[in-house]
Amino acid sequence: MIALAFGTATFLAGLVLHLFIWRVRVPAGTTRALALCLLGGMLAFVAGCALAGLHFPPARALFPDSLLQFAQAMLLALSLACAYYTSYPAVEVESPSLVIASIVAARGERGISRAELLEIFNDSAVVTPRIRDLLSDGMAEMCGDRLKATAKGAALGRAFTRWRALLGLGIGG
Amino acid sequence: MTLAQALASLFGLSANIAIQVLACRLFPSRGLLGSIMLGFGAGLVVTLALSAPWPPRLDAGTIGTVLTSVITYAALGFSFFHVNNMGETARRIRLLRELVESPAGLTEAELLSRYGSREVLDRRLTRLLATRQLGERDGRYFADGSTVRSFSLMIGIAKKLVFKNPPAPR
Repeated sequence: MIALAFGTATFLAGLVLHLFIWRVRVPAGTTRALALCLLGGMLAFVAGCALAGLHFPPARALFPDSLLQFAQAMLLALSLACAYYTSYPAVEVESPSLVIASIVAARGERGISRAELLEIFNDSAVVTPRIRDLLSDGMAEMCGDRLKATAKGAALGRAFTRWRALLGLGIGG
Repeated sequence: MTLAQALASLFGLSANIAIQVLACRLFPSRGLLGSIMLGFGAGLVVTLALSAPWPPRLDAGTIGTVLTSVITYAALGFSFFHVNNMGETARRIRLLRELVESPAGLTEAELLSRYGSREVLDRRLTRLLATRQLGERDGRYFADGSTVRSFSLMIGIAKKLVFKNPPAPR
């Protein structure tokens, strides 16, 4: 249970740092900032525990007592951080599916036509903001009036293209 | 604890990925979600098999090890699900893929002509109809299921926890 408790506490340290910073001011380029917060908070917690163990030996009873147990705890912490990191976009950006469902539900028995939905779901509402996100996250850049993928963006795009090809699936969106 | 027990969740994730790829290719009619569920189940079996000691015994240490491995695997599986979901639905990923296919770059108008709001809307309407979250009658859409509304509620709660002032819809 030590690995479970220590791993969870390590993750929570990163999460607390993230929530604290976000409540003071949400940084620009949240993708990178979130990763730094989670990893930084977790690292600070582990370093703090190591120092506490050095100066206050009875505290060592709360920490993993073998390398394997520590590895298992860190794997848990990193996995929880990964799960949170991959879920975060859903909190930050409105999901079109949820917005559509909410709009349709609000119309009740009248329902809504595709044409009416398109008036709400135009390029400015659903696509252009995502282009801006790619630019602010460093995934794309402007070269004159043309958008190009940066090396980082191209690597991510190709990774998904290869993954989808491996699954035998077509283009998504 | 052995090395296999400590890393059982990673072996489970590997099995998850392998089985999902096979299931997606061999049983395309089950769809992406079906293959994800099959892969997750297979990975869970591997995680449990590797994290439990042999011969089996029931003590606090064993329960802790197995529980930690299962929770770690669940978190990894959840992340993997999101990666799959991003490939299937994420607008930013689709936009990136369009840019990668055009090394000379695209103007915003060209990019929007390849992937614009009509396609965004039509893909989602198709999915929502297929999962019975929406119904269609006489060319008009109506709300049917409650899963999406439940997700919407959960995300609303998460926004209030993360942001001091939840951002305007983007």
